[in-house]
Amino acid sequence: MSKVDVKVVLLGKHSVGKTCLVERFLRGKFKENTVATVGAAFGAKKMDVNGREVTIGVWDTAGQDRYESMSRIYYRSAKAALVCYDLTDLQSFEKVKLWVDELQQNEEECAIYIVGTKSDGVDVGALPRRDMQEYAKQINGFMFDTSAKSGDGIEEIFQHIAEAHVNKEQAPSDKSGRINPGEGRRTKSGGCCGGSAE
Amino acid sequence: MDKGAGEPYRKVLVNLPNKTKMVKHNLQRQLDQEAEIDTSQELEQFHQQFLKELQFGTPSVGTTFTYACFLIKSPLTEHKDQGIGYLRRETILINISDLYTELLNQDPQNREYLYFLSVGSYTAGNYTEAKTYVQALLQIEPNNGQARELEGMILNKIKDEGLVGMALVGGAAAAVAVGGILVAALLKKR
Ligand SMILES: Nc1nc2c(ncn2[C@@H]2O[C@H](COP(=O)(O)OP(=O)(O)O)[C@@H](O)[C@H]2O)c(=O)[nH]1
Ligand SMILES: [Mg+2]
Repeated sequence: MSKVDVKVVLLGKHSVGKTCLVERFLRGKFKENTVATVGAAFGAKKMDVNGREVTIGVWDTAGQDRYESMSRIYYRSAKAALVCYDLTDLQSFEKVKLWVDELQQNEEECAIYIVGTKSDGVDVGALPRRDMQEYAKQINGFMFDTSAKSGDGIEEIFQHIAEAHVNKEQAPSDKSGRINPGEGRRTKSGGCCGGSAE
Repeated sequence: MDKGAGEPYRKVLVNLPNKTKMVKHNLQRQLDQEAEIDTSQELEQFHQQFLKELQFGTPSVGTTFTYACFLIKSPLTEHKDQGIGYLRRETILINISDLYTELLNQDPQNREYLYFLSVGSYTAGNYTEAKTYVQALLQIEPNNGQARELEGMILNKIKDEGLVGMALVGGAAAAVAVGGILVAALLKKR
């Protein structure tokens, strides 16, 4: 079994769609009837970046409050965190801030992706998200909108993570290991603070 | 439309198609990787918390649960056993499947106790016990992929060890029934 090159963790309130997102990424399908994740679940997938193989290891965590102390062991030494909120329930963004605070305190090297989920269920362009976009900019995070149902935006995130990993390996002078925000922010919707996610 | 926030558990109970078949090997990989994560600091932190709360009576469910999970993750067998002991005390297990709804309403966390009891027993090498817990969980949540995968791994171990006995011959249902009675005897609602 090949070893994991990049550790990625999913955080966020329960029911926002973390497990569906991972399922879409790993197996390319939408599983409608998910069961609440117990503790954490691991999966891995090989990605291709210009002929280079990169194995992404994904840790999907349960979002229930009682797991907060346990989630800590899963984001440890993660290269990227997908901090998720539900686009059809913007209240779920509150949790995002808590996780980002924690990540910034404990895992400086971890690139932060603020991920809106279930974009199929809402007119993304019409959402009042100015504050959130400001916030993302302020914390140097990437902002993406996704739908596990349609598949929109998901491959892009992981491709972005894999490319950043390869770029960093090819530029050994930068020892920080941090994925540099700004580079590769060319995603049409993704990028920072983009509008719709088609 | 589907927030699922309010009643994730009941939703699960409504649909009971028993055909989820998953062939992945992620869970073993997960356990291997988790074993490499040093959680001694967390264990110590929750040990202290647990002791502190113990001074004022029964430690809270949250503390007990997290402490037990970190005990189970510990490489030391006596820690694992201790963690399993705490979780057992929290677990409610009834044999008749109609009662599971009621059971989850009483304590939605029951499913999680069962899962970690099974994982803990598995990593401690007690496969028969691990099977009992995971199959009890699968009665509650037949769609639980994590539990399915765990069950598969446990059954493989049992087969490897040549422990395939009457329980398996009698079919999965009988095995659960036997296990259920066994566990019910061990456990007591707190
Ligand atoms: N419409 C829609 N529903 C989704 C999407 N992703 C997840 N869901 C639903 O949201 C619920 C919770 O999803 P789940 O992945 O288990 O959330 P988790 O607790 O964050 O892992 C499930 O009922 C899913 O069917 C999506 O992209 N679109
Ligand atoms: Mg989940």
